[in-house]
Amino acid sequence: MEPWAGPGGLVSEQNDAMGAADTPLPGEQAMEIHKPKPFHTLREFLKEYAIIVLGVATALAAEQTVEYLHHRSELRAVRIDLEEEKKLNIATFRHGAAMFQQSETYLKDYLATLRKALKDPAVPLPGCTCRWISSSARARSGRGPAQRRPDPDAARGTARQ
Amino acid sequence: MPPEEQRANDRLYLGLRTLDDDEGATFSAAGRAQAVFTSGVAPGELTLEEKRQLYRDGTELLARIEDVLVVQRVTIRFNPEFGGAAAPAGSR
Repeated sequence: MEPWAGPGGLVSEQNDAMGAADTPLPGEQAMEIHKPKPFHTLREFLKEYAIIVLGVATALAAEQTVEYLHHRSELRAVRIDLEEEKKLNIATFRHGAAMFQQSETYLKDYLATLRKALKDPAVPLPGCTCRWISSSARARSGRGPAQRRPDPDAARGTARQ
Repeated sequence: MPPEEQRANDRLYLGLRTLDDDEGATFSAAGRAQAVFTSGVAPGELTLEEKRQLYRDGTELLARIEDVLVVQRVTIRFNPEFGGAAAPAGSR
């Protein structure tokens, strides 16, 4: 059975026949072709095998290193975000704590006056200075739950790793 | 993230989430209690029934505020860094 010569096989055969197969044309560089050598001993086999394993391991290690560095920079950014968010939460918490305390005091006084006004219609009811919590106060302090507190599971997911 | 830091963050978010829920209910109660004033009625013109309604709404609001103050105290207890000059009384 004749071996398949591929495209240009005829030319190759002709070149072979003329003994010109390895002779580069003028102005061309010769291409070096290393044919795979069959290994004859276990030692040769292990050597080839070790080279392949080492190459694959090196590529995997390089990929892991790149991923690790990328992940570390992401983690640093997340940690900075978490710290900023924590500071914001502390500030808004303190603001809210003060506001609720004032509201409690004010409301207690107001209800006491209102109780008197209910018993005695002559007692004037003061106008609402609305110092208790209002939606405007909430908006002013930026305490909308969605604005202030992201999903803790999401935060945990990114920060746990 | 070290487990201890993770637990601290979990505690913090749990406290804040609970606080958000309570505050939301309080803001709703405040809106109801203030409705009579935002409608433009002068306090002197309130009828007896309106005064009673205002008292009921105000009492409910006060209860909500006290709930929020309790949650704030608990939050500070588990997250000491939240305590400060404006922390609720008796929180330390």
